[in-house]
Amino acid sequence: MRPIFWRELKELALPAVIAVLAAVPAAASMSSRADPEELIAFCAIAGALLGVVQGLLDRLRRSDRFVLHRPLAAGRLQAARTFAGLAHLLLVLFAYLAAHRIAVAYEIARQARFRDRFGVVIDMMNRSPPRNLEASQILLLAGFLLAGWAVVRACVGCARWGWIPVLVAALGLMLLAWTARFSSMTGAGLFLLGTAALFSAGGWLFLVGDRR
Amino acid sequence: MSAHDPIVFDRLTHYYGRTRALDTVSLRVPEGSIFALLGRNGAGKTTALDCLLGFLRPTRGRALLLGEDAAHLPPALREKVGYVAEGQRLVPWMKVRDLVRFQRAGFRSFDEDYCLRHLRRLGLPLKRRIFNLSRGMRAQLALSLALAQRPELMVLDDPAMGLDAVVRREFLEVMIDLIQEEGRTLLFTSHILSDVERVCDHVAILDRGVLRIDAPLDMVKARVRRFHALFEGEAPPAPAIPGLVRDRRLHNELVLTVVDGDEEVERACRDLGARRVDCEGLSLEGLFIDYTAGRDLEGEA
Repeated sequence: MRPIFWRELKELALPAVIAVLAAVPAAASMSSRADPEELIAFCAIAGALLGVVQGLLDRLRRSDRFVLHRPLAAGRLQAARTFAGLAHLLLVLFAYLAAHRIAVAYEIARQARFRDRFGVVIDMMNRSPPRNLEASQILLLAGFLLAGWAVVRACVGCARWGWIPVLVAALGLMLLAWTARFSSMTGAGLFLLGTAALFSAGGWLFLVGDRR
Repeated sequence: MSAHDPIVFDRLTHYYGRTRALDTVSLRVPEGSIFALLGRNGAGKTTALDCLLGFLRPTRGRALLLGEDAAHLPPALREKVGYVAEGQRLVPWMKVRDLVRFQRAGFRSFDEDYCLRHLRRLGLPLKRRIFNLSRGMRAQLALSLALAQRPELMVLDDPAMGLDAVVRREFLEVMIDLIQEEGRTLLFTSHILSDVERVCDHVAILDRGVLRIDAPLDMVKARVRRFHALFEGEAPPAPAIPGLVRDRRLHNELVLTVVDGDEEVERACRDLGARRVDCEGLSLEGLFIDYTAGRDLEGEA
């Protein structure tokens, strides 16, 4: 299982690095805002993009007889790929949170310096002070990242049933958008993680049992 | 044929949607044999191998691989089966040395020293990435990896596809030496019939999913014959002869390919007014063409 995990990790490295590079400036630009809406949108998009890449790889893998012929149960093969995908998502999330934290620290220092010189102006602008993300916000971001990835991966990776997977993906993404209206961030985050688990399990069952 | 035949197709049928790829194919590959599965493009060869290795679930019937139903192959059984897929895609971005390690990590029986020794003997650069290898090198690499598993059985899906004549001959020689050295069973598909004729001892021909021949090559060649009947004027339509595989009319000549019918054919042609009837044996290529080009004819060897 480990060689497959490493192989998948290497093959997903490029899109993950692109997602990380996109995450850093995005996180930095949003550091001074308390509202995480843009962050949510970014995480859902990053997750979905990684989901597209891995879903396409899943499709290719099904005809990759060189790997299919390994003495490894289909479930373990799929699990190794899923863990590799999760590792990349965690990397993206970590890069994002680290960039956000650095940007917040920089913004606080910058505002403090300006307040010393132009304190009245800052107060007149009535800007909320920059702050680090709370645990519930981080959970929500992780939920969107994972759910976006799982929904899109399961649907893109499914090479059968015509347009049904596309409809399921659209419905899944609408569900994610609707979740953003939850009043409790922790509840929404947990709901999203549940959705991610559900879609991952569905995709896993489909891919493991897919022999036409 | 014995109960221990490593490969058995039992009324194997497979449909892709409404398209029939295999129709009730039943055959056995005897232990220790070199078995060629032949057919034109789209005849169902790769589908048969995919069903055999559990990549496809047959619509009806079953395939048995080393006694196990291919639809539920235990992962450990794959250790005993060396497989080279059509096109040898492998893992393009890996270096040869890394790919050997990748295989070693997957197969407990993988003999890395044997593999490296073999690759060095063939002059394959271990530090080169797979996508930089020529087709011939990739084919040799795929074969070396499969053999290094020390399998009981080898399944090769058109392993010489796209190789030039020199590389192909070299590849086949290596393949046959290595396989016969240890008495393994080999099932392979190929379009290059001159190569097949040189190496195989059993042959099966699929035509649009239907098995037309399944027999030892010598027996097929001994039983199937081509007759040339010459007439004074225009050749008449072919007579109804049991075992007729294919008939062609070429001006004053009637060409008949027949299984087991020497005297009967000669008599039937003479009755039609033939002034001369010649008989010839067939090469595998001639046999293959006659069996697969005459689509609507019956005839079994």
